[in-house]
Amino acid sequence: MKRYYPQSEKTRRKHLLPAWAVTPTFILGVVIVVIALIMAIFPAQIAPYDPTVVDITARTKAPSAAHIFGTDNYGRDIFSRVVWGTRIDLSIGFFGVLVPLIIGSIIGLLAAWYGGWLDSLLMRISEIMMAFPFTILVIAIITILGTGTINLYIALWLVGWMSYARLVRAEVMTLKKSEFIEAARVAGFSDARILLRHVLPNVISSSIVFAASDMVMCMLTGASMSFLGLGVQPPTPEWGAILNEGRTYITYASWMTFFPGLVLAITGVGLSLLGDSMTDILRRKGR
Amino acid sequence: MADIQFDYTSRSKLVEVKDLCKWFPVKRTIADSLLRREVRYVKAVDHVSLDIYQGECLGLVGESGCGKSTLARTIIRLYEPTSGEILLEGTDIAHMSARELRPLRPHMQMIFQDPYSSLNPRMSVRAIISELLLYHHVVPKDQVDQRVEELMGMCGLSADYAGRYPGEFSGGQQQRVGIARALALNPKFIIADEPVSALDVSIQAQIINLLGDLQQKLGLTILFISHDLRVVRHITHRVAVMYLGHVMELGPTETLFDGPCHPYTQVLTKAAPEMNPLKRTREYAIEGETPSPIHMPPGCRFHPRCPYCTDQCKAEMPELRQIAPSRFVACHHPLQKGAGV
Amino acid sequence: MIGVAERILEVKDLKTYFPGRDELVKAVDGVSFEVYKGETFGLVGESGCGKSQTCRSILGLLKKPGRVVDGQIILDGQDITHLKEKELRKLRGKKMSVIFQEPMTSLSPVLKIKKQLMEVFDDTPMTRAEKQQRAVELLRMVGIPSPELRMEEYTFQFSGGMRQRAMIAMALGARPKLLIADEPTTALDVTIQDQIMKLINSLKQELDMSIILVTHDLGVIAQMCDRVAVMYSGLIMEMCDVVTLFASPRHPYTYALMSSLPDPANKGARLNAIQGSPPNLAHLPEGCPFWPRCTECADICKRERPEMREIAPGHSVRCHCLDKTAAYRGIIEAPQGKEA
Repeated sequence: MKRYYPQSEKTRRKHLLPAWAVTPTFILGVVIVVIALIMAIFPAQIAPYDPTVVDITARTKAPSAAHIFGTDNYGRDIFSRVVWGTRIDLSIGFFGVLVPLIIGSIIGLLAAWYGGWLDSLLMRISEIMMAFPFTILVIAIITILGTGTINLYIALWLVGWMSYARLVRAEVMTLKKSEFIEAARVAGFSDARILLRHVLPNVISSSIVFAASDMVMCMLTGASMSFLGLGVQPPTPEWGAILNEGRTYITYASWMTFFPGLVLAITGVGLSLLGDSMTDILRRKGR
Repeated sequence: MADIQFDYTSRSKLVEVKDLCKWFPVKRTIADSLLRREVRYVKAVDHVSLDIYQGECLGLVGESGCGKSTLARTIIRLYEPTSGEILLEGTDIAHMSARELRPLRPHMQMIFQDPYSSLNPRMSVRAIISELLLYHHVVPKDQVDQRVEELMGMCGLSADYAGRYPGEFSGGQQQRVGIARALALNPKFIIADEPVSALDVSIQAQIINLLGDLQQKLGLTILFISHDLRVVRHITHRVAVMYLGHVMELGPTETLFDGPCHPYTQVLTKAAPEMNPLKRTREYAIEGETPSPIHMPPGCRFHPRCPYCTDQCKAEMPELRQIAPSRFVACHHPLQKGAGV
Repeated sequence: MIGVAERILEVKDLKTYFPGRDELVKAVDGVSFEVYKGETFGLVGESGCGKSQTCRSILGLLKKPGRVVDGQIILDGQDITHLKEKELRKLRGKKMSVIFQEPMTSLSPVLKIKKQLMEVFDDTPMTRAEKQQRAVELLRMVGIPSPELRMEEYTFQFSGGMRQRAMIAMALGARPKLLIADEPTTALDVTIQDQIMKLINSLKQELDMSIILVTHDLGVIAQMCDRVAVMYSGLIMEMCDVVTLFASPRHPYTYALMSSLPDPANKGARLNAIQGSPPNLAHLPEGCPFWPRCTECADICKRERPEMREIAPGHSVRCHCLDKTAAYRGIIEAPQGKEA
């Protein structure tokens, strides 16, 4: 059998989203992520209170009509804090992945294309770093740099690029030998042109798919670090930090941890579902 | 391609390959480096000399691993040769840098074997061809679209397809796009690397016709690589037979196939299945298989499989030498010394 | 000879469809043929014509979502159309066996050749030593030099030709009555192809088996087959003995295929190419599937699918325009006393 039927590929590129791609998983993922995005973009309009204003008269109030998620030990409205926290946590997820995606892809591209010592060096570094668990490595870096939001980002970037570099490198290695790249070289195109116009568009999709699932990981790591007091510092409303603050009251004011935790979990699930659907779509569409 | 009597005396040489070698080092293990073992090479192309004349179609045949693809890719400078010269209209391009080569690139283009993988799946036909035109300033910007459509028309593709992506075409149409791309820069010299072997039988004839027509119309010089002797016999003026990195025999197509001088050429012609159920043979055309190019036999490369092998063949490597006008053979004991030549 | 010969395989109106998300691919759309004892039956056609899917249907090795929707497959008197995988597995090897185009995908890379060969006799009551002895014999039979040593090696240590030989040894280990060879020489060089073709031919005689040979190469057909079926878009277009096929083809597609081949007597001339490309199996044209590319096409061809008609004993053609195709001459001279 020949490898492909040209006819059956005619459906390619016709629609951005073919009908088969719209599964319940996909819809649920989109709904959750869109709600999270709205909260992140318009927190001032959604949150009924200022997330940092202390109100001694309303300390540790159980959920009610006035405070649907209740209040914490400083009388701050937990719902408002969670809404404002969305912006921070989604940012950690997004930028914590975007920068490694760009840097890692460039490194992988160059390593695979030029090979030689550059390739060996980069791959050895990434192998060494891969040997450590992700979270341990992030903690180690933050311990060296000190706590804080910026350092949390730097730690995530330093650890994150390797996966992208390896993914892109593997793809470029196979693509390098393909005949259309040879054709581009026969045409006399410069390396930059070949890499950017011919190689990159054909290798980047798997990295983007990985980035979608990596965002969850990144967001959760950000929250964990803040929970441990290594990342975003109170009183900034970040989900991990909120959970940490509520931890001591968990036995008699469980709403302080329950609701932020629930939102964190739902957002994580939403991102995962969307990432999975995207993987499916890209795998089926990108032949 | 039509004329069998191809006059070489009046033609100038477009490409001259002189003593060309392309050796790939065999990957060394740690044990190899520790024991200081010698670096071994795969001698994919080993001291090959060839002239390609203006306007001719030279066939390059041989079995897989004989180095025909490597030779082609070295000539067109996808690989840097290990040693030797490649003269394109008298200019040696063998060791030029990418920058020096760039202005010469339009003169030599390539048609690939796998029509699908030779086209960037994320670019439309228009984008693929116009990129070349713009990059090398072949035509003014405002005429690019017109030129794309002209090229597509030349290759039998409707201009309506310009916006389509490679995946939307059938194999034959994809190969037509590949040919249009190769022609975009008005090349003098085209290397066609097995251009029809990935295509269905009914499509092969279309592409062969197209190549023949284009060669006549544009006066192209073609290096036609194939393992299909029937196709090579049909389309080429001269043929070079390769075996384990060496050119074994070189000569005008008809005389070479009718009266092979090298035992290997004879084997090849005998092994191709005859299209006649009434002519069936029982003996193998040849026993054994091509040895690995890492462990090359000494002497004549073909001697372990050659039915006429002598002691001289085992010890001495025969040079490619002329035995009749325009007939060359690398054999100590050519099958017909001048007969039928 | 054909009249009295025993049938080893009968395929009746086989239909194998691949239901897709929004289209139905009719890979095999009503194929009928018989294979007699001791003959080599050729299935020739271009990629996507359904020749491989016909074989896979017979073997019960269809890839998902393909399935046999209609028809009957009778192997050695037994209807195997709807057999369970477990029962089919018992038949494979003993009654029918298969060799594929790329032996590397059918052989295990992690087991020694010896081990893989000995597995063939797993169901038979033999001692280890006996099995090993048989494995050596098999390898010797397919022409692998020093089999005792080579059988201790792994597949990656074998060259392409040797792998195909090992594959054949495995397929023939249990002495099947029917061997299905799916493009057995396509991936090989001409000299090796020549060796494998002749090996299969001589083994056929030695083991007295029947062969279904699938190929796109008319040269291989000419060298190996007794009878041939030409397939196009899931249909058999023409079926006859091999000499008739080459001497006096009657279907325009068969004829076009032959005349599109380069002719050494007519060097450099334009080839008679078949226009267009094979149709999409999910959207076949009305009527005869070949009409958009056919030189003889008449109005009726666009409306009605022609039926298979026997125009001479053992020569059937699926075409409306048989009167026009009577003038066709093949690429070989018909031998005396044998006119179609």
